[in-house]
Amino acid sequence: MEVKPTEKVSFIKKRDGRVVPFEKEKITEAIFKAAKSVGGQDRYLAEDLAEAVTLYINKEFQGKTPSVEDIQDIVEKVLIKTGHAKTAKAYILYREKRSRIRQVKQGAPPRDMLEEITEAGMKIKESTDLSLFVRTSGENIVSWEIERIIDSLIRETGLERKIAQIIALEVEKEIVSSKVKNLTAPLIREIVNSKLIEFGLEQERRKYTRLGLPLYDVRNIIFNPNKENANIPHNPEATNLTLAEQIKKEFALLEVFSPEISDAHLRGDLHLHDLGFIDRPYCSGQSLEYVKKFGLHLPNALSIAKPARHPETLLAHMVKFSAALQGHFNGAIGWDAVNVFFAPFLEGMSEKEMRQLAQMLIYEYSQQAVARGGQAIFSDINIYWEVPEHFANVPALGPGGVETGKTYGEYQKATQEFARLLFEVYLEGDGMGRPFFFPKPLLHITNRFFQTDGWEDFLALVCLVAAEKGNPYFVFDRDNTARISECCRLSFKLEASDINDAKFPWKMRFSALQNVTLNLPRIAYMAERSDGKLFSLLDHYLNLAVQAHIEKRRFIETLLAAGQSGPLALLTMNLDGEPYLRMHRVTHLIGLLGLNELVQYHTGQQLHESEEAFKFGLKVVAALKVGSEKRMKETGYRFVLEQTPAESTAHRFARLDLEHYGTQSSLVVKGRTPDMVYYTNSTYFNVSEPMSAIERVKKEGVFHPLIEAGALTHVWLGENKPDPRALARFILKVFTNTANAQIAFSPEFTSCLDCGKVYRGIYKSCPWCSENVGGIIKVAQ
Amino acid sequence: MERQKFVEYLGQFPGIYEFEERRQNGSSGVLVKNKDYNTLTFFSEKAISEGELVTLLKHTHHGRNVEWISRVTGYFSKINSWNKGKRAEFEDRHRTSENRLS
Repeated sequence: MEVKPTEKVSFIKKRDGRVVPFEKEKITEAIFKAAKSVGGQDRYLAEDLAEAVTLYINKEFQGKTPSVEDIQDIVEKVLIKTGHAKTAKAYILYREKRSRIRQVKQGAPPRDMLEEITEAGMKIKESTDLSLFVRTSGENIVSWEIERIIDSLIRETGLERKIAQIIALEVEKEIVSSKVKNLTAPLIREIVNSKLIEFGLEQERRKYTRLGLPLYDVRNIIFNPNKENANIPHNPEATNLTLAEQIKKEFALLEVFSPEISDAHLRGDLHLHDLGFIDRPYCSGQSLEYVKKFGLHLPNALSIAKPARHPETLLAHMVKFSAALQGHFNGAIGWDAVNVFFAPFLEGMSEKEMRQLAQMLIYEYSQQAVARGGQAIFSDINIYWEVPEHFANVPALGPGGVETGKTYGEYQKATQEFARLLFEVYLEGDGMGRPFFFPKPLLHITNRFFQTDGWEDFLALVCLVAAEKGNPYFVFDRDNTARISECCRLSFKLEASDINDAKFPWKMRFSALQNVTLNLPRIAYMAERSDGKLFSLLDHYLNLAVQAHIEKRRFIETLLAAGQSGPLALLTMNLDGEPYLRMHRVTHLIGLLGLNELVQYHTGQQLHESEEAFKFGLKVVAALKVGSEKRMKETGYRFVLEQTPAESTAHRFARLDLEHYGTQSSLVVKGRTPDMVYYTNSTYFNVSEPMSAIERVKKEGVFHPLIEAGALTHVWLGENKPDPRALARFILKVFTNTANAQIAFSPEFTSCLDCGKVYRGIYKSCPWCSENVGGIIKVAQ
Repeated sequence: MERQKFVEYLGQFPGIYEFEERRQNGSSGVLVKNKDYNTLTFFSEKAISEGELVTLLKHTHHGRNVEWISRVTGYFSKINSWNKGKRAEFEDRHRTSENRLS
């Protein structure tokens, strides 16, 4: 075949002057669209005609660049010459319509168009007589008024009245000819949107979007449990939460984030966490001192409580404030050094009374599943055996919010007694002997811990709780680091200025504004095993995450700017010279997910399989740390790496990658295809690898110093119940010999709801209740 | 409880229970199918007359009315509410068998 490339047209000039590649496919589409509007169905014919048009163009322009108008003229000619008169007519009409809309948009409507609009105005007046009724979203049935559409188009999209009139008339035509019986406001909006698309008004259509859910989905949400988050039960409050989250999520993607960020989220390049809570910061860690000093003095409250005078009242204030905070943050509510700050209220109490208070504290949090969205407050209590150095010389606040004349260091006895009793309650478990789910106890292991009398017995008790029930998190604050921990592993490393704030502990409140997690395995697939590409892609996606953070930050700042009359009034309350939410101190979390699979795809080995793979993993995390620090310097905002808990994201990324990067991801994805799949969390090693506990803690711990906003190693116990004394030695060893930041031991339980017995380990059926008893035979099934 | 009342109660919930008269191991009684738990349970006349309704109904669960509890990512929760990815991870987790962790 003879090829004459020089004669081919490869570019066209658009109306705005841009030169873009010539695409035959677009001509096929245009012809087929015109043909369909007059009943045509033959796509192949449209392709043949487009081929004819292409030949014609090549012949006519000989490699020069035709304009869109030139091409459209040729399409018309070809259609007419080949005997497709009807399609040609539809095509010409469409062209004219588009050209008119363009002229109107440019503010120069042609004369006949102006006449048409006047005529349209007349028609609008007539159309009010149309005997149509609309069921509105405002719970009313009103008669059809075309003006309502025109007004809403102008109000919501900023369209000029003339164009709004044309669209509204088109909509009316459609409705009348469809003879629809049950006309609802949502349906009209859909029709308006389809007309906006027809007229090429994409921007306006976006602004005119209706957010909401299909009937089918709402029915499912009301009837079926939510499995995205294991902390949400199934009840009317919970379904309210799910429905609200759906709408706010759509709002966030459409309105808060730029299309680039939204698309990156939707594609699964990164994950914007908790989009359904777009109008709140992520999580909050604070001090009981705030409640002790100011009482419960919340904006818009029905009553104001002065500072508590009794321990039970202080507890009630603490729990209620937690509930108020839960309504303003989407994640964890953490409390610093709880036993230390309770201490001044505990003097003179008998052990029995103090135990009762410890029990109340834990039950109050563990049974709050009646709060927002039927969801328990994701709560954490930080516990110290010693009074931390930065609080030891701070004047203690006592009943009534006044200083007691002593320092916290002088309350060491009550501090320790309360800590011990709290863990004794955890050891007992709930009314059935099951572990409490919340509040999560975080025991801080510091250098001073081991220098404080009684640590051996206390550690033995906490390790007994760990072996029996699994609750404690051991947070390792080596040397002089101090943190406040919360959420699944999040922690705020205290800086020099924070330690200074420790003189006024009520000022110590920390928040993360948002969490954005990177899909690390996908970056490896895209890098095609090239180091250079991999690191530049890491940088690219880190930048996207930073941009996402800035976009959310701007949004929250707008809400905060409305102050006491805005939706975040609680976070702007100012009782101590600065707003409750201290924006200068908030962090922005960069979450990591699937480092193991990134390394596996890139190097061929998993993190635990070779020293080389392990080192490469470290190199990746170090690059991200350096990158986020650089962004921090540039913007002044704190970007810190976090081991994302990724309860649903580990599954979501794996699922999306099987769909879009099937060849690559099927080599490394964990679990069972097609849908029981996941990526290994954050920087963890493969969970199924039979490593010894210390080896896992040590090796995973090498990553922890790079991950400032919190890291954790899990030791899965299953039904195994290790010797608590050995566990205590293990903790000491981890503190001394590793860099690991935090560990938790996780046992498994089967709880029988019929007889109330709780078993260690997983049983399909309760051994007690599955027995046959006199005259009752359980026939095998 | 009375046999007749037991059967009448079951009859009110055809979506959960099916039953038929049956002789088993030499005694007459009622065979109950519980569709929620997919079980078959035989109750002798004597067992019915001596049992209370709530206890008898629990026997049709065959001990399967259990909840499993463990740590999901950073908190304890009920495993039946976990998503499919977490369920798979749960099956994969290597549990330490060491009594003395070292």
